[in-house]
Amino acid sequence: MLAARNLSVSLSGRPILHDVSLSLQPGEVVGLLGPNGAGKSTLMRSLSGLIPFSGTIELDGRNLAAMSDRERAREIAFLPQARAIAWPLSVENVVRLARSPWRGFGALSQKDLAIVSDAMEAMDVAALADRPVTELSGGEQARVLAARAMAQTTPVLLADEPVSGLDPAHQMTMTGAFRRLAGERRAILVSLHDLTLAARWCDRLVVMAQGRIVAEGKPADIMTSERLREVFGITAHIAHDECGMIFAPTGLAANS
Amino acid sequence: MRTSPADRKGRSFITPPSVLPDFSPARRVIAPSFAARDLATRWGGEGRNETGGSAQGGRPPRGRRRKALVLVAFASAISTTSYAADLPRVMSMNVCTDQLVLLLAEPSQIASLSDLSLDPSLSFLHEEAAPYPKNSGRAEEVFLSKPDLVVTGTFSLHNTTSLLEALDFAVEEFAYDQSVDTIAGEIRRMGALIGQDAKAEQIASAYERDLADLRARQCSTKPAAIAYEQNGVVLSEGTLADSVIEAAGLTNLATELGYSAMTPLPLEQLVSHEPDIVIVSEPMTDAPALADQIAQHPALRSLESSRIGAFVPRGAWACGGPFVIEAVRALTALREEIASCAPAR
Amino acid sequence: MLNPILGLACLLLTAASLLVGPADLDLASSIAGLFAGGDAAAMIIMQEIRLPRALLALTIGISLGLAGAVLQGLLRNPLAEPGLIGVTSSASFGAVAIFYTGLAGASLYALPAGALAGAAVSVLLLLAIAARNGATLTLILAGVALTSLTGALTSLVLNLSPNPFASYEIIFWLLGSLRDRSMSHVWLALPLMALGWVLLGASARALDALSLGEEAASSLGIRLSATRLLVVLGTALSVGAGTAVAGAIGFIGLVVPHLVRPFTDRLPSSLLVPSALGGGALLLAADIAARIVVPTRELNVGVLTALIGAPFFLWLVVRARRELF
Repeated sequence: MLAARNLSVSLSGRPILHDVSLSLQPGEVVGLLGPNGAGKSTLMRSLSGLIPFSGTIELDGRNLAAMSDRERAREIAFLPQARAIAWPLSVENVVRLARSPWRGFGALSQKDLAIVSDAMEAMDVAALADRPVTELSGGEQARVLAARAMAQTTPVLLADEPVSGLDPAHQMTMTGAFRRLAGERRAILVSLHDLTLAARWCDRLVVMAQGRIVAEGKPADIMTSERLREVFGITAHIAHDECGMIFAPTGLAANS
Repeated sequence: MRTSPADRKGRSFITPPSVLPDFSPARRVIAPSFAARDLATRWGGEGRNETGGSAQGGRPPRGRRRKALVLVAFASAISTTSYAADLPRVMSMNVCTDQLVLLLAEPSQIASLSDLSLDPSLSFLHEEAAPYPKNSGRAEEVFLSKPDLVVTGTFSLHNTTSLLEALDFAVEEFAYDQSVDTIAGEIRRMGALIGQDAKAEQIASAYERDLADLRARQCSTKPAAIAYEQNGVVLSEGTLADSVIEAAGLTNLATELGYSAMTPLPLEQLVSHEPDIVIVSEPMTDAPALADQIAQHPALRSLESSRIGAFVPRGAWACGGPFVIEAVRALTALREEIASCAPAR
Repeated sequence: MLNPILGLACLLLTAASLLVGPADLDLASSIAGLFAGGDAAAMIIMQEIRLPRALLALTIGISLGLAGAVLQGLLRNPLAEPGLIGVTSSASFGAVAIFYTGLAGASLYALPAGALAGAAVSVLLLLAIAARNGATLTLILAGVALTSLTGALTSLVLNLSPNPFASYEIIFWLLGSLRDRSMSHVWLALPLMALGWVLLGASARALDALSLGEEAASSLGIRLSATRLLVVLGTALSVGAGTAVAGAIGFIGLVVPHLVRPFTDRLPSSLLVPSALGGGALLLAADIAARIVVPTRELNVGVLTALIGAPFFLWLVVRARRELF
């Protein structure tokens, strides 16, 4: 449904993305992997229409660049890595902001409020509804913001490192919630650094390095120890169990 | 008058005098009514085009030369035998002493005048001052020109004055605390200092005579007047303007209200007392300043029963000098126009 | 609950402002004078002197409070305030540069034209400097630099004016006053300010979304460039027009949003109306105080707002020290 072709991006004259092509299908969770500086965040920003790019991005055949900001916001939700919230807003008010592409001039409808409270439930923050977000822990804030992105009820959700800083239980909460969204025929792209989590959670992985996609496919097919050495610069012990792959880094790869 | 006009900053404490046109066309007649002709004959002017005209009246270059000539002729006719060579060369560093020097001295006696002497709103004789060298009140300039006498104001250049005295220059200071009654004395004093006693006596006694004549026209009906300057500052007790208003047979409302010297008066106060005459001043220069806006305030213009205008000839009450009589004359004429002294019917 | 209270405060303070003045008018003649009737002098005083003053205090206060709240929302910075970040002093400089050089004659219309231009340029400059990284320190330092620069330029222009009164008007342009304003000032400034309020108010939703940062806000369908344009124009119109007729009045836009924020749900949009009303009330109160604190001599209201606001600012800085550095 979301298809990018020959995407290139330069920021302040410096090329960041080179000729990237990528598509997302409804119902799948796609993991975006790559070392720091590989261009993951830039790819996500350009896919959500926030920065100028060359190439084409289409959404169900419609050109993303031609869509209005509001239209686009009803199709693609973006959960940025930055989690700073400027004011001590209540958790519920933060999540309610998700409905702004949908609401008219009046107050939020009952349906909107129901969506907001469902998203808070899904991210396990309903109990915090009245707390100021600025008083929450980093992990709690991450879940509140994820609930915000969920409550935007878009067919496409792009999440930049949504699980970083979360405790293991809440990592499970979040991956579970995202899986359920995928079950509702939504397409989800998440960037993350935890290889094991990526391999177990995602239907498909996309590996980036130096602004290009270097590998794409099922975890078992592409996550070889050779690739770990080339792309991530590590050696790792790779194991398999009934749920998928397990990666245990063992050291830095020798310079080759 | 308590002013310190000699340096540029000090100028704003001056009573900026005025010949502003009236606000409403209906009242416009008043302003020119103090005879332009009078000024021409008495002070060698040709009726000061600014009178009743616009602020940019300035100094018409053609008129200037003629006026200077008239003044020179006038001066030399009076000063009889003295040769300029015997007379002290004088340097004036203050706009008020400039004008006394201009009136009394032979042209060859004048070493230089202050640069403010050209300012029409401060110097009644600004056109006459044009031909002379100018100084900006610095001790170095005195050194260069080595005059026999330096005259200046008491406030204006304190440090310069002390320095010059320490260096054995003859420095004479003239006070600002003036009233219509001290002016004749100041004229005579300046005359004595620069060796023009006879001429000074003539001008001083003519002034005294005119003042006495104008005072004789006073009567018990004393309309209330107020001199409302830039920024709503009123000229009240202790100022030269106050004594002019009194000499013209008017009551100074500001003094009545207990104000003294130059103090801001809230516009509300003025409106609530509805003075018969509001003397405003025209802008001192063409350069705009908010200070001049007060004269345009709608509240002032809505005063139905007050005469509002720049009734005092421009520069006529900024300094003590014989020309102050023109301010008295103008206000006396205005008073007689609005409140007759004829016995009550 | 908050808005009705603040609205009532504005009404009461407007009434009080109409009743305070050096002319001794009793209540009956004041009211008669205001609504055309009774003594001519009382009528002039009420309609031509006190009414414009009260209206200007109210509307300029509203402008400053609202602009403060909106700028804080846009820049996600609780210290953003038109006075503190140099917008009012730039507006002053704009007005001074056009008026005193006589470029537009002595026309009063030169004042808002210059002030609007000055304010707009300064907001654009601040956005260029501080919008990308929302760091408090960058913004405040840029504001300090801008305030000093425009203050110096204002003094320079006024000192160079051949009009001897001009240099005394430095005080007015740096610490404003509402003394002896007239209805012509109201008609000059009010339409511009009102247009500014509409533009600033139109940014409310966008400001809420901006609480989450610029990226999240864009992803929520907020057009950042349009929002910035609204805020720049709205601030230039409302603050510029107010400064053009009353000089630079500082700190209202800092103090008021802080005072009302605890009584709201902290969403920037919820802060706009209370900040506007609170700004109106605070400036009315300060202007009344300016007239009665020293009975014989009126103070510049800008002095009073600075006396209240600057210590408040210091307190905020001390409180936020860790966040700042």
